[in-house]
Amino acid sequence: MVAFASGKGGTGKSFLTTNVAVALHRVGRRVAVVDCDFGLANAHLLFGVNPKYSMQHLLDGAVPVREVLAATPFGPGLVAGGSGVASLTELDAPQMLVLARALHWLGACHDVVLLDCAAGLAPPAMITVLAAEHVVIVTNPEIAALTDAYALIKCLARQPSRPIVHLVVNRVQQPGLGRTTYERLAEVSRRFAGCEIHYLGEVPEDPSVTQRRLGQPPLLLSMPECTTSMAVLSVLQVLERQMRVFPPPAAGPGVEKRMIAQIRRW
Amino acid sequence: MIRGPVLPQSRESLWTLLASRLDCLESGLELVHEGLDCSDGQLGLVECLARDAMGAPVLVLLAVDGDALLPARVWSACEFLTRVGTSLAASVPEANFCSAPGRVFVVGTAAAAAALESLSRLSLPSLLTCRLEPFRLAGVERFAVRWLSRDAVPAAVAAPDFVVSDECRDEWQALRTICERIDPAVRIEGDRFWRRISWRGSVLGQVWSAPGELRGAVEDGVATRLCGSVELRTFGDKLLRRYATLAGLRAPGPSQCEPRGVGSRQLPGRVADDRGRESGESLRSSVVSARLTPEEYSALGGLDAPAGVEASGGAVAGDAARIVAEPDGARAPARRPD
Repeated sequence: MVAFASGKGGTGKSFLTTNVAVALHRVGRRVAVVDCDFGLANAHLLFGVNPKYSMQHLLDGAVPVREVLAATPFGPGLVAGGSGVASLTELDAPQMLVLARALHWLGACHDVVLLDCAAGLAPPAMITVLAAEHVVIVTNPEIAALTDAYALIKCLARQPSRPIVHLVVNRVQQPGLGRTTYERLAEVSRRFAGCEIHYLGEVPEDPSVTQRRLGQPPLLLSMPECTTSMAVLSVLQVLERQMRVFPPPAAGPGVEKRMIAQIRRW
Repeated sequence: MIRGPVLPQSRESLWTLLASRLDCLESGLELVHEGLDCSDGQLGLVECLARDAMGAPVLVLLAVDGDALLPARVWSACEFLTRVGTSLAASVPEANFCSAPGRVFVVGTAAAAAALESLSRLSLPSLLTCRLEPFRLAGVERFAVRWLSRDAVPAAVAAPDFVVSDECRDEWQALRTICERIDPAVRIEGDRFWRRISWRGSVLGQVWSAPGELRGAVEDGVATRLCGSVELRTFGDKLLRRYATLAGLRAPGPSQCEPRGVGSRQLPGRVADDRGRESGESLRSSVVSARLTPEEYSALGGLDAPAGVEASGGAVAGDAARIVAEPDGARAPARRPD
């Protein structure tokens, strides 16, 4: 289970999540994407689907997760979040428990589950991030995104058990700036928070990406030869390699127990 | 065409028919376990231990013609319930019994009419006898239940309504919803003014109504008023934590993770860090601690920042303190979508 998180909104988490999901599907993995940006979901827009059920129905207990999981035209399954639903930003413990069970079921039925987490350090965001074995922090080179990404890293570093932390630098305007940004952030994280983070790569800023319209297929399918698509594939390759190097312990607690443990700590 | 009796006459066949349809005897009656021996093997087995809609134990016995040990077995069953009392709930936790007294049902057919009549003369207070009246409908054998005991109508199949004032009706309904979502096995049972919330025989909490208000307490906590969404959510959180403790759902311990120090190579698996763990730091406290220090700000965006790195204020670190400082129920700050 891999969580895509950031301290700051607008860094490109959903974009990366959807394209990484498509890439994983293309190599034969069973992939599910869970839009955990409660109340501000947009993954369904990037997949070009309008699911019948969303996270709201799941958390209300009205619909089981197997019915909320919607097929997308591009392969990965999607549990859509709820857009504009204010109550989803204030999940209570029983709702988080429902989510924990749903994630457990998804993990049992898929090879990879990608969590598109909400930005920031709100309780639902932190609990879902900590539910994953690996977290990919998506940041941009500007200082605002860096400081917020570091705040998230610092919070993760204080947890009794935290996921393996990886970093992607998105919207890089100069080649190599991603590596520089990573080195700065990694050095600060190591020195002040005692947390090692692993570099996955940089994704260049591409006007053709920012000008895409809703409803278009994911970039990896519509423009597979562009530099951004190639960069996303490279990020995925590095992530897969690092996940092999740092596998979750076989005897460790499952996602349901991890989330419940965090709910108890809140 | 001559047809045989609708209902089987042998004990085993009759039980096979009845075991899957206990709710025909009484709505909500559920089979817990078959084969209860409460007479040290002397008088034969009680067909089953069941649970009624209120959560009270029910022993079900079959009356068949020629069963000479039936009266003694029935008497033994009633004595057993009197002796064990409410301790049966602890002895059989999977049944999730409540503290209401148990009953004994004896079920028979027309062939055992004499035996059922003799049982009725025992006048045991916890004994109820009934006779299955067979019929065929559209070629399918069915049966109806005719109660023979003096107080023939069994106890109410539904728990008595919980008396709650109009002002607290929404909170009561919301609390029931919370309990249902925690676990399907969570039970809410009790009398008209008090309800116990339990899971597999273990108490999670209790709720009681008072004039104009609803009050609750977790098993190891203090009584609080449940008069709004904030108090309800807090109470629900406490119930969930109690449930998680009873269910054995704990945070991963130190033995499952490799400890590491600053600067060393990251080891496989999830990383354990004793920072915060030794002091029992909550997740909320760790979020507060995520505020950046001036040194950290400087290190991230110092004078030698690489070209292209723009200087602006960070938002999350301030958000962290604001979110945590906000009372429960306050909305999280608006976030830009990704």
